[in-house]
Amino acid sequence: MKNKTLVIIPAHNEEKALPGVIRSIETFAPECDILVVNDASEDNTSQVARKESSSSKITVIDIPFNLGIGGAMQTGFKYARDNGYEVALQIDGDGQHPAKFIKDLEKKIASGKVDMVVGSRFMKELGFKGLFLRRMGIRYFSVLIRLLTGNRILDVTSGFRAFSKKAITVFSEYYPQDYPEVESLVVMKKKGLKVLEVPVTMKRRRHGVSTINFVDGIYYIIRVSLGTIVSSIRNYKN
Amino acid sequence: MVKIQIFISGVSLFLFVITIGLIKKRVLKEEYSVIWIIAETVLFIFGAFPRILTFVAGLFGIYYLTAIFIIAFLFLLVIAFYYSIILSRLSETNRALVQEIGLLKLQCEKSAKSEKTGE
Repeated sequence: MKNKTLVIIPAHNEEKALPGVIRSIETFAPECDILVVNDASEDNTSQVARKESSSSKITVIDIPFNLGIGGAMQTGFKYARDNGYEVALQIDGDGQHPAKFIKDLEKKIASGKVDMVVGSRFMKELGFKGLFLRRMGIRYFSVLIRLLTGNRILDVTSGFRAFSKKAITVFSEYYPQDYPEVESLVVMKKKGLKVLEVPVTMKRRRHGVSTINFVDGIYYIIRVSLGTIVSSIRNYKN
Repeated sequence: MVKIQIFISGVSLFLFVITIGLIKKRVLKEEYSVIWIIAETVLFIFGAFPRILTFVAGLFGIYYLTAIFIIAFLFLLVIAFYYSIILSRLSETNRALVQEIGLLKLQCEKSAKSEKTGE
């Protein structure tokens, strides 16, 4: 009766792109449940999501205050844990992650060999790769992750991911808050869980602007480096 | 090296280690500690390379600091640091609460819906 895969869409002011994202998930992954975590949007994200949710496969959680991507995702992990899902996926609400790759990510988790799959835009020649400076930043974090965990992950900041039940449990308890993508790779390593990267193509976002502008970029680099390095020397109970 | 330089560099290094240790134990959140890491690094540089400080002081027209000023500064430093720790703790409990409210609201909606359809 119950579907075992949950697609989590963390959404902050995504009223324009969200219906398209939901519809494409229903097209490419019809047997998955969908959870929209509305992170205290100021626009009609919640209403738009609820309009789509007549099919009962879609659930909407409204968070009363803005928590950021980390807090929103952790809410999704807690929901997935409490409702016994075997696989959780994360897909952005802005439409940059094509739903046709959901199956690719889900399959890897279902094989039972890995606990987190990262959809990578750098393993294929096609698709939108982002701006030059951002790519440099991502390369820096990729090297940092390789030094700290030994894992070779190219697209360390990708938010197109799939998680096993074990990963769901781990991240329900602790998930980095502000910019969680990079540090979560260290958490996986610390917990002895395996991460795999699979190729996807991404689209340039059609609505909204990036959450990180150039000036914030410097802060982002310091902030995430600090979080990631300290996380790698932190003691995690197993 | 003059005594005060050793003292300043030592204090900043000590604070740096404390800061990292507190982040590690999750007593201090990264978002409230970036500013401390930067401040401690700058303080260390000023301590180790006083010529830079002399230059900066000259720029602003400050040539000496009184003892009372240093004491007041250290006192405020401790208070501010303590506030960072409290903020970290508060934002952590706040986060958990907000998530819990979101999940509870969903449960309320669901049970309200099933009551309606049940009748």
